[in-house]
Amino acid sequence: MSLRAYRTFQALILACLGMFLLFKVVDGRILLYISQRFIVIVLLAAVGLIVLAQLVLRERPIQDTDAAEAAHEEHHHEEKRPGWALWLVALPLLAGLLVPERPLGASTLQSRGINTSSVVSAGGSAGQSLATNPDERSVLDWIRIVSDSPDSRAYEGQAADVTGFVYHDIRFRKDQFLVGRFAITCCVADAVALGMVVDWPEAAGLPDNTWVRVRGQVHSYAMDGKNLPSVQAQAVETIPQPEQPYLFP
Amino acid sequence: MTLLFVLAALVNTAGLAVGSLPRWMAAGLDWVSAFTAVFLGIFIEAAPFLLLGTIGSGVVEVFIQHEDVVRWIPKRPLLGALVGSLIGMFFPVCECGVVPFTRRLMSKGLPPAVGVATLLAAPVLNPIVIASTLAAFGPGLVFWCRLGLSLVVAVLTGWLFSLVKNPAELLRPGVIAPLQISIPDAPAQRLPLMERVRKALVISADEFFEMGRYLILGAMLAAAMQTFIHQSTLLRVGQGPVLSVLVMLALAVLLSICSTVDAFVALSFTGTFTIGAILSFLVFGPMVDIKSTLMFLRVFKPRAVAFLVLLPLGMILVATSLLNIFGRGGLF
Repeated sequence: MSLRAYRTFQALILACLGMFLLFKVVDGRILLYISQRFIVIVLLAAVGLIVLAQLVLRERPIQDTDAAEAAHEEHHHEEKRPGWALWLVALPLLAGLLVPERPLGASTLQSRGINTSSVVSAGGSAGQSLATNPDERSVLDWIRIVSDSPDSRAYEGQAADVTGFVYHDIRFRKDQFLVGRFAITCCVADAVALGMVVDWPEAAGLPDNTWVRVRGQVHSYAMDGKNLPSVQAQAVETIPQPEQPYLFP
Repeated sequence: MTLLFVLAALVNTAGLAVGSLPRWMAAGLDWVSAFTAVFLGIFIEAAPFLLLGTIGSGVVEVFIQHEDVVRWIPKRPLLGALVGSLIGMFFPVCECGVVPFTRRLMSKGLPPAVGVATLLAAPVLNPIVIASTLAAFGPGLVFWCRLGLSLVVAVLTGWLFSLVKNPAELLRPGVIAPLQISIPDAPAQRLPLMERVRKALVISADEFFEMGRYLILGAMLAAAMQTFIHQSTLLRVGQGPVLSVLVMLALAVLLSICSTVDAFVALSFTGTFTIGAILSFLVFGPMVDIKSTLMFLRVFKPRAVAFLVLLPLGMILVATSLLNIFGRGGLF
């Protein structure tokens, strides 16, 4: 590849990467990949990439340089700019544009397992969660409260109103399902599945991955020496996937 | 894989509902979107830091003289490794950015053994990571042990590398030479400032592509492993003082999270794992993971990379296991 062509493609890819990140930040979909605390850094990087693209574009040699000099350059640069490297760097762009954005769901939950203990210890506290209105608490808040409060009277029987996706575990009864969420600390790579078991007579009729809003009474049960929340559902309604499917502890 | 991307694209553009697809197709699509989400997650999170590292490298190339590097670094191996370990305090880089940055310093005359110490220590011993660890764990045992152990392991490994008679043999041929040609006519220092900044940024763009492809390969590998290896199995295995350390070491490599943020991730494992295991994750993760190992191979010969991975691994495994075994008494 001639140096001119290489520089052109380089600039193109840098600019597209920058624009890609910029658009994702602007329409908020960046949160399908990373936690909010990174937005500013990603924004800066997007601007940086676009500036670099501009500089690289100006760096293109004019087509008809002295042939001998060009050959000399060519020789030295050969190892530094194989064409495949260019396309490899364009890969995230292709993946981001082609693959439909779907948040992690039931199938990932199955492979990663549910890990309630981890999120409980990360940041935030039961006190904070207790301070919020019961019907505004998320799945994460309930798990924190139930596993941290020594006195079950602090939550037992309170009205919950939570959203999440449906997951059926083989260990569940027919009239049970899990209302699940993924919690993300930094990026999707560290996503951890959480959930509350829901008692609902028509549980079997809800397919995995359906997003639901569950209202009912909170109870707790003990598993592996820890208290975990469950919901005795009064109403379960199907809802569209929320704008922000992940929780950020 | 390309095939699956194409399949996903077709579904995307044709607006087909996933539910209407045959079972195997829907499963494949699940797999692709989970893989893509993790892959892009790692890439988007790491790319800004890689960019920062390559800009640092460009700045070193244009603004720092060969003689300066030689003058600043002490000749005594142990002292040299110590200074190398602390370079990160002045140039905050994570484990992606540190590779191009250190390579550039080595091309400017930094001895490879000192470079090794920088590679291993700088991703932890820098202001950003210290702040994020402090925010996550507070100024307690984990915080101080993370800094201390990282320093000790980096200095020791750097010192061991300094025992190699001909240090240039550690490096890939051409690591030092071709870098010089980025600036064909020598003294960049005589150019006006804006011109030098422009040169530094073009170098950093070149390096973003060179190192970026290893970041991308590494992120894809990590995403594939996450999609196939069941993390729950891993977590169920490890509770003993040594086993828990091994599991967290594996997890550090598997997750490949940027060192600037791994403290928050480690925090989420404190309930589940021993303190030594958490520490091993915090010390080893920034030194070695899938993407940084791929980038090391750009700089060092494979044999040197093997030592670069195994020496810290051994030291950290022993140190944190001992902490688990003997620390149970009065310490906590």
